[in-house]
Amino acid sequence: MSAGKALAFHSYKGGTGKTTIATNLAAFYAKIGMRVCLLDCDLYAPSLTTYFRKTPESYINNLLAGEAEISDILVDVSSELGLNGKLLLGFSSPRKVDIHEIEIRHDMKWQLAALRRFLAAKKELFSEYKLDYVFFDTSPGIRYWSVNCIAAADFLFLTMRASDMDIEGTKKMIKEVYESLTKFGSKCFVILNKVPGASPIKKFQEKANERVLLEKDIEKSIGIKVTGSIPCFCDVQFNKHEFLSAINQPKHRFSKNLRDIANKINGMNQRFQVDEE
Amino acid sequence: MLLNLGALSWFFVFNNYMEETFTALTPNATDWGSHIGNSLFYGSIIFWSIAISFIGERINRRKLLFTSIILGILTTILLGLLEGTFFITIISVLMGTSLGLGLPSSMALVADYTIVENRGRISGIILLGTFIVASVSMGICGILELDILGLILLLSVLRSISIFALVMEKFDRPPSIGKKIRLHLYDYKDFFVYLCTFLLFSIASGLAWSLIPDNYEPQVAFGNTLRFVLMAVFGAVAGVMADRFGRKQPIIIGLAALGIGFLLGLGFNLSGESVILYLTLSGITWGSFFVVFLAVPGDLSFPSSREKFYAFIYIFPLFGQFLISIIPVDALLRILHPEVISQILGVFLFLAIYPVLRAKETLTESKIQERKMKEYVERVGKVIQETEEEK
Ligand SMILES: Nc1ncnc2c1ncn2[C@@H]1O[C@H](COP(=O)(O)OP(=O)(O)OP(=O)(O)O)[C@@H](O)[C@H]1O
Ligand SMILES: [Mg+2]
Repeated sequence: MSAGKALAFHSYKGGTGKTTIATNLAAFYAKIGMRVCLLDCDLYAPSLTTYFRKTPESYINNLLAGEAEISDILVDVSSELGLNGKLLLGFSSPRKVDIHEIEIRHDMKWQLAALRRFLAAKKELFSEYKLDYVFFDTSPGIRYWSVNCIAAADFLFLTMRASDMDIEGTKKMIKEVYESLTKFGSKCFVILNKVPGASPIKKFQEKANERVLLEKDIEKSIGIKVTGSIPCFCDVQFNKHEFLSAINQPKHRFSKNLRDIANKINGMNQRFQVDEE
Repeated sequence: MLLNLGALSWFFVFNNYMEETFTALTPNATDWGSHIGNSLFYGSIIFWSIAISFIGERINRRKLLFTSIILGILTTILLGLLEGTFFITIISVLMGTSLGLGLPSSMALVADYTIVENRGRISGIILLGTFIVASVSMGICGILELDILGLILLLSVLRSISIFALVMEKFDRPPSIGKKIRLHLYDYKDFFVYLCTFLLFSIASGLAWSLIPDNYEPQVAFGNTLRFVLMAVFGAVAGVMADRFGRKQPIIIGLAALGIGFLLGLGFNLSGESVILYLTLSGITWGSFFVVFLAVPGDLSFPSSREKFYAFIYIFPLFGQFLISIIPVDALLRILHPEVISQILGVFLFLAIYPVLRAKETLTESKIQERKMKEYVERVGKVIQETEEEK
């Protein structure tokens, strides 16, 4: 029996760290021997081709259009990254015409047909590839493919900063989207990113318990469990090309925070599986 | 919120009936008296609407509406009791005053109680209610062959219904508006474009009325009832459309319907059937226009300026009627050939399209998008449910 789970990373606003967290988590899981696939579902602003510096032969776009199978689009990077497990990548096309097509040219009916193909592909990933996790890195806001990923995910992680704008936006999305989609069994969590606590300025440095309090605070205000929080690290923010820090700089506090989240997700997954049985 | 729809809808009914009452009552007075009565009526609506739109902000809305309704009921009843040119003149002024006092506020109420996403549909519902009542009342009049006294009684009843809405809800201004929002000329500009369309449209349809000779009376009566029914139906349809596709769509369809109406109904040989056809088609137009022009001022105005916007929007057709009531149209008809007039009408309609195309869509793109995504989320939910069940 496959017990794989699909994890989607979504946010109301852009730039909250979805891509950073999804790539690093996926790489970390693969590093410790798990079988993982990461799909760039940010079809409107693809980033994985740049992040991994790869140009694949087929894209997720081809899969959605029914022109390619899931096996055609996956790129295995496990050995080149020296991972013990498996890391398969699915890219979305950064070409302008492809983005335009997915965003404007296709109507609702097409999007729903593509969603069915997407769901079939997800099923195949678990049954044929025996994956533990499939990651969806999504577009911010409410758009066709963020809605689709939210719907297709087993665990949904709302990646947000602890600012009022993010909080209000997330509340709005919970009401308009998540609530109507999570009733089909998927679970919704919050990951707080870029929180205070790692500043070189003394005043902003982490004080005991401060982050726990912040997490509790957010939990109360939006009514969703917080899985973890990651401080804003200047060297990550200003790195011209942040690349899998979680496995390349395991001593960094960023990596430690990320591992905490990874372990928490594993724990949750096991608990839910026990529940289901 | 639905309550204040009631208040507004009865105003419309009343407005429609006023004309009939006047023509029904004028045998009592001289022909000239009836003309004066009509124009005084329209004149005082216009005067008071403008007056209220400027000072209305400072007046308690509830009191204002109450005064207006009471005045309306009293004068309607008085209409049955008093006769003679002198009284009719006074009563017509008072009736106009009553409407002028009440209309801007009650229309502004609708805007206050709605948001941009549902304003079109709510306006549609109001219209549906209004014209269902109107056509039913007209039906009653026709079937029972009510005399003037009966008609007045019916009118008083209609007029009284608004009171219920007032009693059941206290229509105060939304409390949040402490500070006054200054309107820029720019805001008026968008509104003005819509106004242009409405103005051209009212002139055209006003002229069209005068094209129909008096000897088609029975067809006009029948066609008018049909027109009201269509106004009700298309008011509702246009309301849904205005919320889904934007405010401009119903206007364009309305203008197209009117164009066809002019062409087929009035453009060629005038006959009983063609008059009915014209009236029917113009019902579509009026229905969709009313909805849009009930919704757009609400979209564009702020709570503090609503009365002004609404006063302006309906003053135009009233002004048209005011003009027609003081201008001897018959003389004009004798000079100009009907065909010429209908060609002029065509030009007017053509001109009316232009401002619409230029107008700013007040149902913004993002709202349309938002509705689309809502629908999409629902459909995605269904797809997920299906695939879950397959397992
Ligand atoms: N904890 C963190 N500390 C510092 N910088 C961070 C942190 N997390 C992410 N960043 C930086 O923030 C920027 C945006 O992150 P990322 O691209 O992951 O966001 P995103 O949510 O995927 O954005 P988009 O919505 O555009 O896809 C990147 O430069 C990333 O390196
Ligand atoms: Mg991203």
